[in-house]
Amino acid sequence: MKKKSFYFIVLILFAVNTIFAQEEGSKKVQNDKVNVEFIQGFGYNFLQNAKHTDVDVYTQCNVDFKKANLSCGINQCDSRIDLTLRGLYLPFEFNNAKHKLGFNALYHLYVFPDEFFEHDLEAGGYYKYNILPFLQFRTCMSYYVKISTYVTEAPCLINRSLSLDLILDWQINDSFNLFGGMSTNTYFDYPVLFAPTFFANVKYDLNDHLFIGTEVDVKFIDIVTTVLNMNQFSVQVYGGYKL
Amino acid sequence: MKKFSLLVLVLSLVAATSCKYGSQTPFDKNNSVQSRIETIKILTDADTGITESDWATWGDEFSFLILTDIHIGSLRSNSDDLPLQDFYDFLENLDSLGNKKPKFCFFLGDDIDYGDEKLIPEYEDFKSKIEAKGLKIFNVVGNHDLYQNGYDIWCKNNFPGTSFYKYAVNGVSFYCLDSGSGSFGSKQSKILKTQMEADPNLKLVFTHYPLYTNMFAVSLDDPTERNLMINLFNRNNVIGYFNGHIHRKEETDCGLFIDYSVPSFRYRQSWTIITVNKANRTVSETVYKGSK
Repeated sequence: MKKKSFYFIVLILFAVNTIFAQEEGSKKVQNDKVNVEFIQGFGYNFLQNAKHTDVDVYTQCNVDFKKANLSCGINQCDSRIDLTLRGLYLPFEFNNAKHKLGFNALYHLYVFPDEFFEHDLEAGGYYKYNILPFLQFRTCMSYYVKISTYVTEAPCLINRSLSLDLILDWQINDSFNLFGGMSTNTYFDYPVLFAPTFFANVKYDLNDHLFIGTEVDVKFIDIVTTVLNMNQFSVQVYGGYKL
Repeated sequence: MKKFSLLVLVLSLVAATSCKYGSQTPFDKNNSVQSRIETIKILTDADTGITESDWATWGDEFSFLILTDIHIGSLRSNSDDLPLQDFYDFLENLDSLGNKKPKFCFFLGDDIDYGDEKLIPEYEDFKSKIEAKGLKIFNVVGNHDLYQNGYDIWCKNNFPGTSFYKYAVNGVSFYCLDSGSGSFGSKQSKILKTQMEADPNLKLVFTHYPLYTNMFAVSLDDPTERNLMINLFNRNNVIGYFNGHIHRKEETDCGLFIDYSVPSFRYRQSWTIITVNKANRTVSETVYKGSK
């Protein structure tokens, strides 16, 4: 029953997002410096792990400024909730904006009811390289701190670690976008080094405002010191609206 | 051209080395802990050879020996780095330890450096010296034991022939868990939860990976799994969680139990005696070092 209520709320939110987006859409046409998009997605975990034991349902909002990006998102799997806030600022441009350099900062909250809370704080450098007009390479390397607090007698535990993203983005044509790569931390998942997720994402613009997409994620645990141990395999589908 | 040749040489060396560690067997079914674990094996006195009367004579306090990360055949250093003579001298003088004399022994994984059967005779020879002193060896699997499809070889050569088991005696339960792939996996976690919740005994847990380390990496990578384990242990009378993998000594207070990372036999030239007092619920650790 709880799950049905949750899906209902998500659908309402999506509808509200869409209506809001339609109203705000005209403003965007007047000011092309700010792009806003809302994404609603579902992830099915074919290979489940301790965190992803059911269908993931997520909502995300991205606001793109000329040199910055702000995003926030919420994910639910069973009774567990992730909340992420991310800021990206790319003030440095070289070679006619072929190279862009900047900073990345992030806060992630993970609530596992009756068990624990996790807070992740991440800060680091971000680099974009427009290899060709339709091909882009992005990388982000960050230092992050994970603070875990427990409902039992366990004291707060703090992990300090690094994260790395390596992403290749190919704009196939006006409608199709393909990107993929490797991330040690994904938007809603912050493992301790080194459990990378390899992913491939296809996005299709239905028109100027609506888009749909799908992503395949494969996560390996401790890929450096163990034999290959796949820990998660999920397929996501999502739809979104651009203002 | 010189730079290119150097790059090729370096890549070839890396490839050759990593082959020993199993890069040629990336999709073996036993790579995944989910495939290795079907059920938990419950050991009896008949399996261990340690009887109730032995336990009765030991009373409330007992000690055991831990060796971890022996890495027989290590590619990183030659076997002279094993503190064998010092350790054999220690075995000869066990009686001098008094009430800290170990009653049995745990190997916490990475017994051999890569899962090659050629390394087994040297390993068996080493084990026989310990067993000759009347110390039964209990084993947990490490990540190096799994290289080169090594799981079956490990099972064949190590008591009790499985990587997930439990031994309960005289009010104490010993749980040996499989974390050789850097994860316990959902199947093992579920069985463990059921077992622990039905077991009122004082508990000691043995595995290869630490729950936590203050290093950047190399503890359990999945924090959800780690956090659930910490809560499970705190709720179910666990007083010690013993592991290796990081090669150095570390202790983490996890609330009602301590996460003990035991130093490596090869890389820290160390072995450890653990003394448990059931009545006081205390665990004490004494680390012995080779003279090198």
